[in-house]
Amino acid sequence: MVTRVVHNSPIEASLLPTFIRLAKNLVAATFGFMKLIPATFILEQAEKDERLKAGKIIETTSGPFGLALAIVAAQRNYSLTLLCPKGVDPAILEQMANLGAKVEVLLDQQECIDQIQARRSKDRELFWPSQYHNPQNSGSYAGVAEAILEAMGNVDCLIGAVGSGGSLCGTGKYLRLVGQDLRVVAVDAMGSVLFGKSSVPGRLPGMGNGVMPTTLEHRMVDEVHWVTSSEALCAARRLHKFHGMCMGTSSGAAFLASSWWASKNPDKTAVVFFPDHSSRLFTSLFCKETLQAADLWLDELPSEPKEISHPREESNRWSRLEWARRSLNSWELAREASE
Amino acid sequence: MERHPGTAPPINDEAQIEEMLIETVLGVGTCEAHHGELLQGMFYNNNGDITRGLVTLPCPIFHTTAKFLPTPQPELHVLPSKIAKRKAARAAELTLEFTQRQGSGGLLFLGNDSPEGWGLGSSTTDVVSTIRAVADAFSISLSSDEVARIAVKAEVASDSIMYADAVLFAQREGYVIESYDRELPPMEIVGFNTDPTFAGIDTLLHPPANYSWDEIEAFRPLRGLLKRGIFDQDPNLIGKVATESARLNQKFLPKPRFADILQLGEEIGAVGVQVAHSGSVVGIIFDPVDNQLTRKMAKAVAALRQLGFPACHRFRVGAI
Ligand SMILES: Cc1ncc(COP(=O)(O)O)c(C=O)c1O
Repeated sequence: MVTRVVHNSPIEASLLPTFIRLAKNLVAATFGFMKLIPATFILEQAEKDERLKAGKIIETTSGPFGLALAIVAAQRNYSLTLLCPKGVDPAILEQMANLGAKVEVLLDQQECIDQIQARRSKDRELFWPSQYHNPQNSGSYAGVAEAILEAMGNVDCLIGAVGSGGSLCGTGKYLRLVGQDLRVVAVDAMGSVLFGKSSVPGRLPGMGNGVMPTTLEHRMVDEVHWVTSSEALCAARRLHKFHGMCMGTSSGAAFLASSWWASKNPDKTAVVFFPDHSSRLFTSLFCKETLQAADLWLDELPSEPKEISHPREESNRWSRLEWARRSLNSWELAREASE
Repeated sequence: MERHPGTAPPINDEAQIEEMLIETVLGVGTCEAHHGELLQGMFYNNNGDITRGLVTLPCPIFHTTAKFLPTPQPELHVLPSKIAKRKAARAAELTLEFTQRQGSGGLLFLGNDSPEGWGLGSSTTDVVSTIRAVADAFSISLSSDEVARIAVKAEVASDSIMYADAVLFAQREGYVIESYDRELPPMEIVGFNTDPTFAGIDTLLHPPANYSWDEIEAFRPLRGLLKRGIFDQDPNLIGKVATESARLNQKFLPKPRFADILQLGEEIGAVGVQVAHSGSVVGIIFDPVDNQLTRKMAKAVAALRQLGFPACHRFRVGAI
């Protein structure tokens, strides 16, 4: 018999999603703070393998993962150093510092990585979770797959915004153990390199990436959507308007793509990830003047994505590509770029 | 009669004899065999610790019946023999201890009708029927949890055949990790023995499977789907779980022609394939409400013959 339980910590309480039906065939997996899942798992596994005996952790981050590490490290009394590239929201840096993390702001992601390598070559006991290259990032989502299967049985489609790709590829991999046909839909930021577009700086935090993580398994992905920052913000406001949920911009972008997918596939069931609340990352989705000044305000969203047939096809609005479980290399991006 | 040291003195007192006769009731206990597992691996328990666990697939066409006749002498006599039924003998002693009758002995008869050498969990079946018979002889009713604890003590690791409802059972520690509060859904199974020379694994000698962290995590989605499958009474979901559990465990106790068996299952439209994770039987699982059931099962039997498994048995689990 299952009874209700009292959780021992807010971290424990955040490790499993709550499922909320948004439409007949669309269910949101909502998280208190999803990045606590890989942060907790990676540290626990390191404890088991005795890689954390010295209690010192270093990571480079521009957002949620560093914050999640800071929360877990504070609870377990680890000393955490976070190297952030310039441009990270000052409010996030304050949150990290408030949790006791030593925050250093460096020039860019490359400098952060060089620094980590230099410091680790001097101090071998310094543990580096390395979310972009650690298979235990995606490996941490087995409990999420378990929860989805327990709540819904097999589902037809999994949709989520990608940063490291850990949540989407990890959950997708575990779901496919018992349902090979699962469709995996990735939602990327316009100007992110993850699915072969060239990098444009100034993306919103969370979704997309300026470097290529090995945790993203392109060959698992059936379909890619690219969403612009202003569309993601507008979609997050729509999620609030329709469902009263105040989630972050990557949830907004995922909501946009998943609502479209679910309406196009009325006989299939889809699950969409909403990884975080809007309060964490952005001052507000509703600061109209600030957003207008930054050219990030939209009143209306397109009703359909623009269909493209190659990652490098120009588009400055919500776009969709049938990725078809291909490798990144198979798109011959280098040749395409030089032509 | 020759007296051995340690045996009870001859009873002369009439009242004592009378008491003994009243108490001497033949206890009977039965237990069905099992056909390996639907799921076996490592699982998180309520404390967040990882422990070995399994979900047993009962095989109700075979049973052990145990009969226990208590005697005031402390010796335990076992038929067919104490050597052949070492674990059952131990179970009888432990049950006597548990019911605070350490001094008593008795005669234990075991009749096991499952074919020898098939590894149908005959040791747990013997052990559980023995525990039930001893308890019955003294009109004591033991809970499934109590039976489970005694069984694990008697044989180090035991399956969960003593529970009527489906449970995820910690086979080495003897507790329920998760109870599903209902039976498995109805399923039809075509079973066969992949290795007639296999006598089952001696749990004491065979080291338990050494799962890596990602293998341990992979059992979580299986557990989630199992729970949904039991809740919805959907054999299709249970079949998927069983197939994947078999696949994940294949390297620890390989079944011959495993890939062929999986392919066969898919081609004939079975819902899945299950294996004995410490035995040699394999079962192809079918949905009993499938209107092609008989045809599919016949196809399976014919195809298995082609693969070199000439003898099959058919059984059913779950309420109809
Ligand atoms: C707040 C937040 N957390 C997590 C993610 C997903 O991250 P990942 O792909 O690294 O698992 C996103 C992604 O877009 C996000 O915005």
